[in-house]
Amino acid sequence: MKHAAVHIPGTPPLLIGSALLFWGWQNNLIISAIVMAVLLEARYVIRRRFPISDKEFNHLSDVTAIIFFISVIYIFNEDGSKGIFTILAVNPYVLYLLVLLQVYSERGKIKLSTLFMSMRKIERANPNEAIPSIDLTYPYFLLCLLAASAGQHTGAEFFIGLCLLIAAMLLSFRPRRYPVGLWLAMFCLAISLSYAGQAGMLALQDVFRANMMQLFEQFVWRYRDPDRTSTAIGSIGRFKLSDRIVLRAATPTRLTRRLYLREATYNLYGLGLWSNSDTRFEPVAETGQTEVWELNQSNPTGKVTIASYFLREAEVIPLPHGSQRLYQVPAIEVQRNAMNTVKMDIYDGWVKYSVDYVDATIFDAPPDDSTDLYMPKNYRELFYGLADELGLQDLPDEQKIGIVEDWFASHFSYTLEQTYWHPQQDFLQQFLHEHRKGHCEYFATATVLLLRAAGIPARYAVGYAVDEYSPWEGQYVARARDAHAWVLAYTNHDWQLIDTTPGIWDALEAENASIMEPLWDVWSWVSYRYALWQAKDALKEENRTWLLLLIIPLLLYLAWRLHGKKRNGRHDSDKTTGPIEIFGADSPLYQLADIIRQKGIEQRPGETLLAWFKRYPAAQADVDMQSALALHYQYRFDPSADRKALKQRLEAVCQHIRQTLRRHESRP
Amino acid sequence: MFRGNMFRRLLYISFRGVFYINRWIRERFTPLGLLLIGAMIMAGIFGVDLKSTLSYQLFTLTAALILVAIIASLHFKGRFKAQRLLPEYGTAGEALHYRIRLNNIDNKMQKALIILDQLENPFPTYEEYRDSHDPKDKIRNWFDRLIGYPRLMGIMQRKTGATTEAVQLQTALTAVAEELTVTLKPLRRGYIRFTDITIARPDPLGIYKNIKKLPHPGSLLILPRTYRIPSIHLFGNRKYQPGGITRASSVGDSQEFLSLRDYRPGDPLRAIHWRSFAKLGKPIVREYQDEFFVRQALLLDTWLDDQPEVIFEEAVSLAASFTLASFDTDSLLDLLFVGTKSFHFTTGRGVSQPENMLEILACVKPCSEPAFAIMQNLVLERCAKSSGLICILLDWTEERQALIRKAMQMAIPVYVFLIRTETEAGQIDYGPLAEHPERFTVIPIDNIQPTLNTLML
Repeated sequence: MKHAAVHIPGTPPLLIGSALLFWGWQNNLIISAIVMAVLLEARYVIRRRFPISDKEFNHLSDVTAIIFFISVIYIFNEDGSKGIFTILAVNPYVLYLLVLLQVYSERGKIKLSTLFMSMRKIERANPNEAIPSIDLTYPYFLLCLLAASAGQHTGAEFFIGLCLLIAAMLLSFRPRRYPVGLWLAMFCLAISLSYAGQAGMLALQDVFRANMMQLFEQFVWRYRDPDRTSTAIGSIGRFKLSDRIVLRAATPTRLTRRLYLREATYNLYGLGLWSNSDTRFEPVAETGQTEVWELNQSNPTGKVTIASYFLREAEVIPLPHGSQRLYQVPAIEVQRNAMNTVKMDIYDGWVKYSVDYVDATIFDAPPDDSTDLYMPKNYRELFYGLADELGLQDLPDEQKIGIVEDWFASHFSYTLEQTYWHPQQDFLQQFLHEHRKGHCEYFATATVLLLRAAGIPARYAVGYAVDEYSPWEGQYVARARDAHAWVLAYTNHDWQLIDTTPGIWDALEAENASIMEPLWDVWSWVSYRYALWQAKDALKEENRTWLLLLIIPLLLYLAWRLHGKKRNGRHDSDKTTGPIEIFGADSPLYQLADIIRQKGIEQRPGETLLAWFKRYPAAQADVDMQSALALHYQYRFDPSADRKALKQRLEAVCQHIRQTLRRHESRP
Repeated sequence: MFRGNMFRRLLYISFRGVFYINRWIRERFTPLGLLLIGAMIMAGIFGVDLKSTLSYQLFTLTAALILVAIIASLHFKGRFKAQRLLPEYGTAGEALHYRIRLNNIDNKMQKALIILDQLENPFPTYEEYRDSHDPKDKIRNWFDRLIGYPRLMGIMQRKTGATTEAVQLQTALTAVAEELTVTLKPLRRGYIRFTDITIARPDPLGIYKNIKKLPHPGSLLILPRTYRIPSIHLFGNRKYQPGGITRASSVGDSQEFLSLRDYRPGDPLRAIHWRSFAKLGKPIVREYQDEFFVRQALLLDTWLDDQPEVIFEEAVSLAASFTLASFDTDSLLDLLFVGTKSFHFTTGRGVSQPENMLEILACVKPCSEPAFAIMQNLVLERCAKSSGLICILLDWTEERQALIRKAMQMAIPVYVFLIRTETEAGQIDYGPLAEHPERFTVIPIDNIQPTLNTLML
């Protein structure tokens, strides 16, 4: 009965060539793809195969690996994380030489030790161990298809080409027991399923993307909309923001109190959403100096250098309330709205800028009573009633504020968890009269509305409360969980900051910090430094000669390996051509052998020393040749023996034998 | 941190999961199927962002092909009968071929079947994984050493003991019984256990196989690998053997003349047959059937403490080599070792057959507890009748040296072979054999045959 071991057949003619052309067409690399395809397919015409040694395969594999790593470094630096798709697209280049060498080699396959250093070690240690070999052509074929997917033709033609090439591959494996029609029907069914799957995946990704953006903003980076912000008021469950560092602030001296960095201010509230009545932004004129924008005219009392993460190229920036001027940042444009929210147009990623500010001063425009005293209908009864209850109506503004602050401080507590559900309009009612606990958004919203009910214009401000100093970085850091909301109240022709959230809030937030936080901080610092440096580099558009610094160690490694191999090769050739150093070649027994040789008795091929010595007539006499040989072999082959002592003993025995032989020879 | 038991246990559980998944995939998917799975995984990784590449199209196509193939292969109704025709023995490290007779009981013709003889392949226990040593670890990278997956696979390989190759039938299988040849590569000595004969039928696309397992337990004894040992001319004199060897036609001195043979050191002068000496020019002696003959004892050390198991395997191979070599000589060899109790088997011309001794050695197992008292009694008892003692030792501890010392006190020559890994080889104190360093040989496990070639016994 005919049977054979199961194996993978070789690729049929034109299969890899077609895949290469497909890849070249997709990535606009058609010329090189044609050359590569022709060279590979020519193996069916050129029958000559070359005796390529393992060492040559290994050399090429090493060079391929180095080229790959250099490409990865270069592409990642050029394109950032998106570079992964460029790397995918150029992969057929990287592996090409190895595949070419394989198909033209006599062996026709590549040992796994060529690809894996660890297996080379095993092979060196156990030369008899069979290392499996593989045929790279099918993996290369699939790699070409994968690389083609990173190309530019995104229409149906890609999918058609993909199906045709996969069909050609499957045909070469088709079990002969089934009719072609069945095979074809199944393949068509698979194509239909695949097509349906693609539509499903696209729909799924849209849903996923929408949900992910929400999660991303909550846990990783928050995009601050200067026009509106939704609060977590009324959300059930645990309100938790991540420990990730989202902002860094360097000050010339250590801060004596918490620094509030405002991102945005809002003046209209309705059902968990704060918004602005006026959403227009006006550009801030650049002063005579480059990269300096004057926000307000006054004499600054402090300076802070802030690094903030930009999700997109134009973002709201966190600033101290009394910001006077913004500088040391290569922004394209700086804009500001009526609420004094500042937006900067620059690049995405980490952005660093300096601000001079006046401490305890808020430069916002005077209030507009129609908005800053506006009380939503749903809350009028609640807050006017509460203002009456607290007796705020006829008091001076400072006193009103004092009573409100005291009331929140003495009757409320901070929590990140809400376990009760209520109708939308009842959240604040429940917060103020029932549960009396919540997070900063509850406190700030309730305070704004209560102050307005008491006749004080007030606004809702959001940003970061910074007071965590990182000794390691030498500057202040703010984490996502440090995002905060507070109140701006207008009294005595001036805006003042009021924060009614219990002072313990940041400690409670920090309690939930991950035990991995220090490690993440280190990583955050490294990536931050790298991002800043890269951003600077991108803006200055310097030439990228520094890349050589990364490539140099790789080239040095390559040179070292090649040199090492040459040296080893020379060593090998020395071994074969030069005198062979034999362990124990100075054995005294060889002197006896010389004596016998001088007598014209040569050792025959394969003859043992004992048999040879015994052919010497004089040695037939009573000499202890056996002991001498035992010592000689030990001297030659036992690395653990005391060689000095052994040699002395052997010398003594050989001396004795020589004397005995001489005596026998001298006899008539 | 990485050496914590919890970490090890977690690794072990993950490896077990990975192993079973891997085995399932390899058992069920054809080489084409494996290629498509690889492509699907890669395309899945690069295709996560559907807007950046079209890899998701390759992903869905390969996934759909695999799905269709699995569904199509569900219907496999063939009925088969198989019989495994094994040889009596195999030798460790040498591929052997055997036949499987296959019957198609159904009338329906079956084409392109793939047959695989399945070996018992138990997953190592956590204790085996934790406590095992593998000399190959020294050439592995730090990650493999730390994680221990290759080591785990090494244990599995040793437990399975062999590999078999799948065979694809090129012709249709009809109701007539067909025979096919399977190649088995034994990796170790001892019994190889077979469990099932698997008959797989690939789907029309050639991606997935539906399999039928025909339970067919069986076993095959794999004899130890042997080395070429220089012909043994052991030291030591002939000794009186009480009770004689009436059971065999062994040789010695007796009143009953048996034959003439070449002179050997130790033969009495009165035994020389002078006429033949004069005729042939070399001493010839008369042989009589009796109790005087050369008898050597071969002690195999079975106490494996912290050393790698490969040392023990090589010791068994060496013992097997000595045993086989003894069949070419006129002397007898007593093989001694201690397992659950003490054992001794005699081999030599006419006594026992080489296969019997190799069968015994194929099944010798290492002891984890030292049983020197038993071993000492065994050795001393045999030494009284032996002309010499060859010891194959796994270590050179005080207890072993004491044993050798006692044997030497009985005025019989002792030859020690110490099997060691290369790293352990170094300066060794010969202890009781300091006077006879030529009788002490260190055999590095990766250089056994060359070392044996230099022996002068």
